[in-house]
Amino acid sequence: MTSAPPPSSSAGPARARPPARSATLTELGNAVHAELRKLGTLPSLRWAALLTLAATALLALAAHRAAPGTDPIRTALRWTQAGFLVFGVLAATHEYESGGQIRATLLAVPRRLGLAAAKAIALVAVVAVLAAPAGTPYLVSVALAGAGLGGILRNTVAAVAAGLTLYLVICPVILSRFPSSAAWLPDTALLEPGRGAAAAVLWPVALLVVAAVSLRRRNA
Amino acid sequence: MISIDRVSRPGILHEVSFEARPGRVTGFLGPNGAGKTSTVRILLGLDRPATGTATINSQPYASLPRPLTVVGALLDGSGAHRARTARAHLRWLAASNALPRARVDEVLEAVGLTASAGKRAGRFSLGMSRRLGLAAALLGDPPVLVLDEPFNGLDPAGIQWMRAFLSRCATEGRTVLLSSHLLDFPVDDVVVIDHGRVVARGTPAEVQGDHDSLEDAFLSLTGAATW
Repeated sequence: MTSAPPPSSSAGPARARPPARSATLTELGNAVHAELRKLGTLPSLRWAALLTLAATALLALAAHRAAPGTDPIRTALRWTQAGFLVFGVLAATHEYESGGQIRATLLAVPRRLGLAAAKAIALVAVVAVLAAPAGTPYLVSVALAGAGLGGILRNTVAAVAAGLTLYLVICPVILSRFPSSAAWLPDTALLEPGRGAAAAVLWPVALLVVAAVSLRRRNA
Repeated sequence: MISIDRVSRPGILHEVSFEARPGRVTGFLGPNGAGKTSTVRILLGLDRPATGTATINSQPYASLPRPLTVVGALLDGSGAHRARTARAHLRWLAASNALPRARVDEVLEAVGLTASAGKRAGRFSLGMSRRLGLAAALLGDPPVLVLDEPFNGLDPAGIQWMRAFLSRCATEGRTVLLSSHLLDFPVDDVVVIDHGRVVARGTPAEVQGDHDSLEDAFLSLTGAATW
């Protein structure tokens, strides 16, 4: 504190942009813009994305060599989808890590359902870009499911553990015991292209709805 | 105008009511654990009261359009994620309320953090974190400031800086609600809270009454003189 220059609280007026036709849409747009900035300036998210893409490329290369003819990227993603899950979890849980960013977020965007929507939109946009090389929209689904779990549990480790258990343990076990359940499992869209699209949409949507309701109801 | 009207939370707040009038500094005083932070969190829409209402210019915080242009709030901690730089933190905040980007550099300058703008918030000292929190509060140049324990934990130089800063805010005519467990800043109005109840309200002279000093009045009202 000692090296601070003389304090002054105001440094000129803050000018507002002219009001748009729909205040709600403008507000949502501003919130999405802020969420995109958050996702773009968090080192842990950058690392998660980088490592996931690198691991996918390496595994795909290995899969291509080991079994030519299969879809190597899909084979790799069976494992590296976990990276997208972690990305989604971190996008939600970093708000609750030390520093208490969630309070700054809620002070800036106090309407909580709008905030939840803005977060989902921003995450879809970022993951869609990241997943473009892999060529499957499924990765958006798994990232959104991660964000839903993160929003519900508010803890990175717990949400990652829950997500990995769901995708890498529970789903395969259910599938092996009840093969007819495939259409209702969240990862069928990855394993069997052309099937499970509805489940890939419904699972993350359900988790996000629970997360949004929890955000709205709980104290910050 | 900040208006707290019969706000209750079981076991924490009991029918807390007071106003912070425009252009005045209202000291919200009470011992640690008296309910100051709970009241402030309800005022800012972070927590929900069981009963009662808290409004700013007759609106609940959550109904304010572009709230950063109406109320600036300082809570414990800077509100910045430890891995993000001060500038990146303020930029997303500015974006959320459609504030011009130039405002970020202006508030960094105003709190003396220009040289540390590229530093991660997690590397900030307590005093710097507090100033980053103030920069965020000032981003929208709000007419109302709500400051929860701004002096807490600061070293003497930090306290001096904060005093000068608050004086400046007051002379600029901002409405200031200043919660504190110490009487460390000249205020226009006083609200004293203890065990979740407002035990005194008024100008410092009114609250002081027959006591030798405002501090004596505060100690006798809150029974805080236990040593």
